[in-house]
Amino acid sequence: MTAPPDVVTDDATVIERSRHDPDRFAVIYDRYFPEIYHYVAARLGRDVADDIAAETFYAAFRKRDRFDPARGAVRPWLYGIATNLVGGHRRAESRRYTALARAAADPRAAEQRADGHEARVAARVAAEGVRPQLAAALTALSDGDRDVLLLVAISGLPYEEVAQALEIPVGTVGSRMNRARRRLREALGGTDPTRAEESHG
Amino acid sequence: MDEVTMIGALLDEGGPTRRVTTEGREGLDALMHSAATLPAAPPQAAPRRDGRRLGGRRPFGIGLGLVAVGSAAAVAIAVLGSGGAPGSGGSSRADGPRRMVLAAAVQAERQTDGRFLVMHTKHCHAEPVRARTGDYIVQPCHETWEWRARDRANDSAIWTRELPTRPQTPRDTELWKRAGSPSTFPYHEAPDVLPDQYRTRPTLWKEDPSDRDENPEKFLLPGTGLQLTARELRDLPTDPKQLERVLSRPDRKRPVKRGLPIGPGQRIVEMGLAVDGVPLPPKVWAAFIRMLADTPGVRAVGRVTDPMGRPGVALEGTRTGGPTGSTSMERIIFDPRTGALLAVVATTVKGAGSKSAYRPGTVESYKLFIETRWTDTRPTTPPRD
Repeated sequence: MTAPPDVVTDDATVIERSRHDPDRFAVIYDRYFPEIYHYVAARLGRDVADDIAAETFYAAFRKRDRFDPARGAVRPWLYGIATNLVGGHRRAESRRYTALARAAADPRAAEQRADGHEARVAARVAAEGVRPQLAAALTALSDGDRDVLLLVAISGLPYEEVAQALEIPVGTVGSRMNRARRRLREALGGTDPTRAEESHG
Repeated sequence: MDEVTMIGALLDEGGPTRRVTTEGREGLDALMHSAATLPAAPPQAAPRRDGRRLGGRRPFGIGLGLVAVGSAAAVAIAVLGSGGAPGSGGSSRADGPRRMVLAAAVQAERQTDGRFLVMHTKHCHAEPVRARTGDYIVQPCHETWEWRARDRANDSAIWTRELPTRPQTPRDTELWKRAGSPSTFPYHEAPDVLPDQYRTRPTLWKEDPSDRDENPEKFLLPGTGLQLTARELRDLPTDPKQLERVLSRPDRKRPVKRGLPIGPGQRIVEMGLAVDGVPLPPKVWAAFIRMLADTPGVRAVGRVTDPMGRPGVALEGTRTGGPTGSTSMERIIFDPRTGALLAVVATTVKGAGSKSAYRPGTVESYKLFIETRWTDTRPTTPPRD
């Protein structure tokens, strides 16, 4: 399914026009649904993402009047809405990380569980050499640090866009990112001084 | 691999399936369409999809069934929340929800039919389970995929499968675990005869050959005693009053005597049953919506979401009595873009008798129309997941 042909390619203009011509908003959906889904599914799993990813666009559509191009681009605006919605599922998110840690720690036990999905994740995680402590460490991060880390780690947002998404200064993004990385390294059993406090994005 | 890349790899679940993308887009289409065509609703009647946040309290990893319940509960809360909203007394405002339903009827009228009606539905109900560690409620669900030819009564097929039975709410999940996480559940009214009627294990799609071409020569309208030929079906009245006369049985005028439930909600249930699975022409279906909207005591509730989270417009009414003596709110939800039936949801207002285990607000049952479409091509098998 694709949006109606539209000569306008600029996101902000599409939103502006959608205020009077609602159908235009479909362009935004077609452009960003896959990546927003990918982000939400990584944080909450596919079952929940089926709803929350779409909900992100419904919420965005409802508040399209309040989108202010002066404060940032459409993409980080959508990530901000998605992150807020994910925030309503903190406990589910933390359970997911705990389950992933368990699965990574003991793939065979995971296989025996009814949920074959966890087993597949475990297999993939093991193949890629990801350590279970990493998943567990995610649960120990503060909400703010985790939001920054995951916008970068999952979606590859540059710091500038993370700042726009979360409506915080770019400097804060950097310090949260550093703190999150430090925690992850500690969880993996040590720090690597050669890579400490490096910047990203 | 550095730790940030590892986190990305660890959490990667891939992108959306085509089905999810399409469904999300359809939801958006509906919203966009409502924004373009429907009168602006007062704030309290705005779509409550964000009520899904309630679903966040459910334990992670439980399937879609509970997502549905979560949003159905949100629907119930939205009703309670909007009923007594201050400042909503103006008559023009009160007309808003009704106008939305009637607008859906206009859309229904504009649909074109094909030779076959395909219906994919899911039916769930709340089943009380007794346990020494605390009673709880599970939700057995089954899915049906069926099609019927419009022009020949004896040309149809029905496929069904059982979905996993799950505890209904996070609290029920807790109690189910405390009871040792059983994988089978008895039918509460006959636990000795049917000790393992419901299971946590799903079944595969299956076509029962005895259900193929189930109507002999005429279409049965369940509960009405009516049997119509394809031609009679096509010629059903498109005037709501006349349609009501055709669908109403004379002996239903004294429901109390016959031990039937009463109230406007009963009318929704009865009439919904009468046309359940019947390939009605679009204009007759439009008349059906108008007929229900005109039924005394049935009120329009404007924008709602169905148990799948799809936006809809709805009619509802209370239903009291029958063998259990309990009261439920029966809600019928239509797609504002097409007038198609999305769902019928029963929510407990007051439990009694065999339904005394239901607390107010419990979703007692719902039937969800996942897909209803006309096609000229002979349907074959249910869609793959």
